[in-house]
Amino acid sequence: MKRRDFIKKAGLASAAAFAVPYILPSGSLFARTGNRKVNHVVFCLFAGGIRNIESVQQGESNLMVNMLNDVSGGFTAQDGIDGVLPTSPIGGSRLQDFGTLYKEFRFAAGSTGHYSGHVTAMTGRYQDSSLNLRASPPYPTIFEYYRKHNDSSITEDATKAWWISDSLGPYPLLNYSTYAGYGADYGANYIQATSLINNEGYDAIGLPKTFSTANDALAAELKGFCDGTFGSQFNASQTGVINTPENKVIIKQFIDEMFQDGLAGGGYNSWGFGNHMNGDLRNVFYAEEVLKKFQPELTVLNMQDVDVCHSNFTGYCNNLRRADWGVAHLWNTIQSTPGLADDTVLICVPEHGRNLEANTVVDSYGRPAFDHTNDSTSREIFSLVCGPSSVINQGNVVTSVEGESIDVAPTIANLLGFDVDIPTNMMTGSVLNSALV
Amino acid sequence: MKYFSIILISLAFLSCKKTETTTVYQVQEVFVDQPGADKPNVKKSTEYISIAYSDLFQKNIPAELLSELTESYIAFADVTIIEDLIIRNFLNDSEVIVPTDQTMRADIGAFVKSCYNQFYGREPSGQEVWFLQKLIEENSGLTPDVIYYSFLTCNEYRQF
Repeated sequence: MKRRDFIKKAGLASAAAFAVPYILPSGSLFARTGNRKVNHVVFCLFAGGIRNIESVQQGESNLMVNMLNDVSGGFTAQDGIDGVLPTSPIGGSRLQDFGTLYKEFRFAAGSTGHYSGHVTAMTGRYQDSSLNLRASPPYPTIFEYYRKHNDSSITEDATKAWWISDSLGPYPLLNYSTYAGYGADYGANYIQATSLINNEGYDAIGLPKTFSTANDALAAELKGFCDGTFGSQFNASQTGVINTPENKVIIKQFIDEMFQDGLAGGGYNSWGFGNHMNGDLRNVFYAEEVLKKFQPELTVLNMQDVDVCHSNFTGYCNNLRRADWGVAHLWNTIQSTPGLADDTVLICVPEHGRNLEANTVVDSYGRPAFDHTNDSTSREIFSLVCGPSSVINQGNVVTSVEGESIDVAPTIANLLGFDVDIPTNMMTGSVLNSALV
Repeated sequence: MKYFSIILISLAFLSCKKTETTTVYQVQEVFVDQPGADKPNVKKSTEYISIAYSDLFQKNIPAELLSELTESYIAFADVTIIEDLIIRNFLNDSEVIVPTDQTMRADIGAFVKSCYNQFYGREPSGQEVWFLQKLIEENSGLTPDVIYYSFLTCNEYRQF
């Protein structure tokens, strides 16, 4: 090759290198290109099926005195509906003062079922009757969008995203989808704490053998050799979400800390609920512990104890009051945690409502019960978006029909700055711009 | 006589042929097999737990314990963490059956082969015997339970 030709071709090659996108170690062609508005989002699926009648319309007086301002008078104790709850975690404030309340949000399509509602909210897509309750969602969850369309520091760190569910059943399936190109590699860490942190769980995994530091290192060396030998046959797709070796150590520490807390009686017992503690509040407790330990950028938790409404309306009202208190406690914990305070948006949305007409069941206080079977009332929900005043419109109330379940995921993506990187039409909702400054 | 000599000499030349040997170069067929080959299937959680329990306690796992362990398995996303804790919990049980250090070091080669047979259902390769034998010989503090833990939490143990 002549010298002149060489220089010419070298120059062309350099120009091409600048033009071709840089392929990141994560496999992404581009790093996150959007601008994030906050560094943390907590999405609370205020689930189980809550009617606007009992929530924002306050048909049984204000059962949500920590989240909502009074419409016409505050809480009024009724026969069987708890008169006293522990002191409000946020003093005299109401959460809606710290953000935007959508009073006429909609779960506009798909079955008004719990799993369908969860999948819709967490994927930004309505589901049809083909949704398999025994399989992961067909489209990516917000966790996968967050981890894939982001910097390698997030893509490679599963502790940045957590899903904390109140029960097992189909809910462990929601930390990642079956969509090609997404999946477990980009899924969230998941824990159903009350199934793990209990006496049986402690007997199962609470007393692990500890080796010396030297033997731990030798075990790692032997495992590395064996795994390397077996490398080409390893079926990585079946192992689910995997954490880095460093994060595994921290996670095991966390599990041990939770066991020690449980053995000491459980930190949530200091909340003052006594015999009225329920699964929702325990799940809030463990979500708070995850937040304090890992400070994830994306956290999703749910509560569903209100679903007793299928047979017990009084219990539904009491659990709604507890859920309301729990969300306020969650907010207070967020605002008390360095790294999260004033840098977190909290979004609360029921997955769906309940029917207008009662079923045939009447509880012991004579109150009729309600199911959720796709009538128009079961599609009426609310949404509360709280956050820093520089990001979220404060004290804003939207009374017109505005916003849908499928809008939550795009809003989260916008807040964390990766919405522009998600392929078009993957999520079908819109950003809740009226909540944003 | 002259002619006879000529004939004899000619015959001698004709009979002295250069023997040509044909050399054929070939590749000797050697069957190359990766240790642990033909294990494409992944154990389900109940299978992993049951088999690990049987391997360590030499008896079937009680149904109630299996149920508790399975729930722990499902309640956390990273199954490798739960597996790690389950195995360590098993090894911490007073009834676990693990050879003593003395037994292991009395015949390290036999110990290594028994590990591969017991946990992976196969003979170890020469390299595998060499590696683990060397590791044991060079580390007097390395105990059998650490080796059992390593085998039970390796990827090959998860598959069959």
